[in-house]
Amino acid sequence: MGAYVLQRLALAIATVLAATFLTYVLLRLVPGEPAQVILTRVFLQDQTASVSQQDVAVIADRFRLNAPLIVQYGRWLAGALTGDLGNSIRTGRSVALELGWRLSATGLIALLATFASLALTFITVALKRAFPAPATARGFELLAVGSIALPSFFLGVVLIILFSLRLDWLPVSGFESWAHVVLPVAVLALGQFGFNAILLDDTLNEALDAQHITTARAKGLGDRAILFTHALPNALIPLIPYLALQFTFLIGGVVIVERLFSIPGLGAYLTDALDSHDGPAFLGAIGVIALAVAGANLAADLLLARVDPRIRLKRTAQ
Amino acid sequence: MARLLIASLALALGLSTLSHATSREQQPALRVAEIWEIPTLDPTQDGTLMKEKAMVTETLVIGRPDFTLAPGLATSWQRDSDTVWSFTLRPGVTFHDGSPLTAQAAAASLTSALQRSGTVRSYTKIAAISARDDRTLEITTSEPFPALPAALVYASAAIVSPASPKMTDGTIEQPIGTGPFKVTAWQPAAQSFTVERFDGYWGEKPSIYAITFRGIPDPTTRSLELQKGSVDFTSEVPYGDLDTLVDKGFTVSRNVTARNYVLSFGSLKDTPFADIRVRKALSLAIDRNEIAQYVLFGMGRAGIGPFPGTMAFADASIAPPKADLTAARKLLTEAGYAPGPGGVMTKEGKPLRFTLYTYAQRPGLVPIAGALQSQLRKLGVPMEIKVTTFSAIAKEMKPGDARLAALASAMYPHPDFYLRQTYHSSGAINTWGYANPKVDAALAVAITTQDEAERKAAYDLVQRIAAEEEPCLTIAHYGVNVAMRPGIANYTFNPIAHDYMLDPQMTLAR
Repeated sequence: MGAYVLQRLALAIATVLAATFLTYVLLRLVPGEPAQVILTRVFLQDQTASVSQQDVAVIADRFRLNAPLIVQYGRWLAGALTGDLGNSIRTGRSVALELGWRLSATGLIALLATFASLALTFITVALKRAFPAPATARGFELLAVGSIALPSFFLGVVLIILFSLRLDWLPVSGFESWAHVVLPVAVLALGQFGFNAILLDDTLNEALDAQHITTARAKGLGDRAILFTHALPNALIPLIPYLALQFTFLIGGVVIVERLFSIPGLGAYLTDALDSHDGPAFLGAIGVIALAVAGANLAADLLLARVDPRIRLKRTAQ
Repeated sequence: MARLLIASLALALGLSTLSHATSREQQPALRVAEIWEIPTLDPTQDGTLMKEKAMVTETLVIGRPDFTLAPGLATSWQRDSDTVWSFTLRPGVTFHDGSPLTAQAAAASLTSALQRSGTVRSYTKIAAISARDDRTLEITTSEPFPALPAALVYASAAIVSPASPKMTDGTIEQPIGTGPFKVTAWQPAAQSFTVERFDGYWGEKPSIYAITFRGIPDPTTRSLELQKGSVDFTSEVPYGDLDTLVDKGFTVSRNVTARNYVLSFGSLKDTPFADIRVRKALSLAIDRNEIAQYVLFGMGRAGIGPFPGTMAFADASIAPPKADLTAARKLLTEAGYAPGPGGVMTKEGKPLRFTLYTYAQRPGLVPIAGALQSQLRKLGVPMEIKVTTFSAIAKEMKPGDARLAALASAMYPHPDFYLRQTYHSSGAINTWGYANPKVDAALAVAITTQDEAERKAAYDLVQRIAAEEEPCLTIAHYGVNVAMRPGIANYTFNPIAHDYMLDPQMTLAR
């Protein structure tokens, strides 16, 4: 198991390094000399402006663009390891500080949404199995497919009109109190549980069809015991990596929901940084998202290894 | 695992700075939903927010609603020589920290703005600034530039106290200005800030005690916040919501600002668009009034010239043409086109078809692109629409394609800004390569002459040539809406606003 953990950890670190290095290179691939690009695009906001070499040199010096690419990246990495991600070109503020604000908003919402979608998944699957009838099966399908199909901006607006305007229970947008968190979490959870529910229902069916379940029945085990000790653990295995994937998607890719509810989150930060050519901010955000992706996948891998001895034994046997 | 999750949840909770609003309810504050995110209050980065919306900073010269100039922090100015100007400062003005506005402070503020903002430098062309005495500011431009007073209206050239708190790289954290309101609270993490009435203001004191701003970038969300009553004032709500808001008792105004919806071509060299008859035919097939009325819901005004009639320097003789499909077909026939397979206008086996690139940030663009598509189809010119980002268009667009954009037509209130960058042969946005010696000559005369009448005649000539030759097609002048809850009175929209402007004389009743 120890070797397996080390192997996964090394892979996680490699992921983060590769993502940030590639982003660094891509940011530099913009045609033209980087210092000149920063000067004309960020400071002059006029790409056709004629600039003096002296001004370009000042920028190159300020953003330390004169060293070879790999040295520049090395400097950035060394800084990042000590928590210094540089300053945002747009605001002058420390990128690490701004990312802290953004991550706290996004992290909270992503975590709550993951729990909420998991809860919805279990509840719907349990209800479907507790009342086995064609009508429940159809209702289950309708809910799940609806969850996948409804776009979040539409669902979000409908929920705002219902709960904020008509019922006046919740605020429309912002990130100031717990009440502000309810609707965005609901939109995200409702949008995610459908796929989870179909997946879990499917894998449960598969697990219950397995031969060892027949054996368990033959032994005279009750339905509950069969479900919880023999079927569910096996059925959860495909769900775990998928949940990790969903969580990382929530960390990096919920710009639409963040915009609709005016949540100063990571996704909006990333797109704004890209729009305003704010390199340090963009790179920092990519680093945080890469870290979250690697962390979530690592957690999922370790969890899988724990629940599924086949994974742990196979890997360490190699 | 459970412990890990609880720990990370606790971490997230601890990190999240869920601030409880410290509302000072002794006097009601006006709650404004700003249309962009609010990453910074630095006037050199977001000048319009600090000057036009929050009314914290002021400029030496200000623009009247008809785009003429008026004294701001400077009461008068004169051109001492071709490149040297002197500005006399208004007496009795103090910054929000109590220090007086002196020529030294103004010079320091402008010098720092020039260092920090390339747009201030390129708009004003200032080479040097010094204080001749306490009240007189001397400004030297790098070339003869009669538009300097107008360029100083540009919001990022606002005067702030040199004592304004700064960050290590010189970015202004919280500007100390001279305006009727001063910044009293700023929560960058929550994208919101508060300004309060400045009692030492030199001009008429506002009646509103405080204003809070929150960045709400989504137009639908702004409209919903207003309908809920959690926001009092906002701008740029979805055009389709305007009638609903009026029905619910909100005050809605539709205004024209200094921005044009412009269709520009990839290149005017070796493309069908090089032929003026082709450009005029496309222009005649476009029903501008229909677009203004039904596509923009009245948010904008049909136009063919560079400036709407609301601007003092617009040539009033230019009127948008009526759509005329027959005349358009005739022009295309004259240019050698005939209906080919599928009714597509074709010349020498080449069909006249192109891709129109646009972007979604301004709400009118995509609907206009759709209207243009159906209007030009009637002419036999099929057009494909591609919606992407503004910066991506320059990379993807081919010479035979076109772009629909919303271009700011007066970043400062002077005709030279837009006419030069759009129609001069070396204009900054004239990437399509339009070159007309008459235009270049007129612009050269306008910027050097000391004779006001001659200058006006030269700028009028450029506007008429622009409307006749249409190197790029102006479709409509930009409309911006402002929506307020009932009870807000005395608000006048100032069309000089970059987005929208607040009015210091507004009153607020609960």
